[in-house]
Amino acid sequence: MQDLNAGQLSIKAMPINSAATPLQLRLRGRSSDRHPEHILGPYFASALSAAAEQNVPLELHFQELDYFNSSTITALIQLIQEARTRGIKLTYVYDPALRWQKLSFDALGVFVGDGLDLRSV
Amino acid sequence: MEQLRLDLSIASEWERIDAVREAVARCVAAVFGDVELKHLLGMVSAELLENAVKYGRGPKGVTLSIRGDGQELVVRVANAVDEASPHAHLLQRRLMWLRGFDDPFEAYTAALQQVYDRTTPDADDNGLGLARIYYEGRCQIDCDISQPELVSVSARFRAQTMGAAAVRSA
Repeated sequence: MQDLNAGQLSIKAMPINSAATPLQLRLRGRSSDRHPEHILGPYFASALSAAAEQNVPLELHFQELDYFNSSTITALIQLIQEARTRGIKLTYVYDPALRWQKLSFDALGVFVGDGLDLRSV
Repeated sequence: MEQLRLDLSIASEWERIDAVREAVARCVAAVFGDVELKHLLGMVSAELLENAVKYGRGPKGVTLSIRGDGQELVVRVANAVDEASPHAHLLQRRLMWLRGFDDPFEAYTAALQQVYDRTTPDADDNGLGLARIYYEGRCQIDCDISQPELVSVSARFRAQTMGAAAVRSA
């Protein structure tokens, strides 16, 4: 799984060490593109394929992300749909000490049990 | 008492928005010294500007103004629209929909569910930004279309409704 560098946003794909290790994507910077789904959609699709091939869950880590716009939230919801369709366990990991992250992911909790798990660190 | 007065007039270009968000955040931090408020007003400014750039027309660009003190802050974004554009009507309808919820959290999660349920993703048309402002800012959002071919959207924050991100009393 390759890393992604798109403007102010970077995503680092952590290597999978064992079957018990999820595929971790660590987001950093800012996601404020007008159409983030054009970049994130294909990248997330590749991540889902990689997770499926290795039969591991997928985790997105947002703790180092400074900001995302509402269009990015739409892309994250589309990922929840895709993961659910493909039967891949998906977890969003966030930092509740950052109020904007706590608010955003508290609300995304509406999808917990419907293809998404949330974890605060 | 600290006061913030900020007026920006920018080209209607997406690439300007993130710089404005950062500028607003820095101004808020400089005046009020509040980290949470800094993030919040940066986000609100950016989401309103994104709508203005998406739906605005003409060479006049987009204006952003912020006024306020320790008790109340108003962020206002205005843009020109074509006379025939449905944007103003859709905007008003979306605001009425949001006001139909007693709890901003319920409004926002309903908006998220709308995105989830949509069969054809279209990030330009989901109104999620307004719902996010309503939820994260606990603010009153209004739309003024009294001037021809001009749409102005304002988000009004009051200290007592902003929770942890309350405007600091000066």
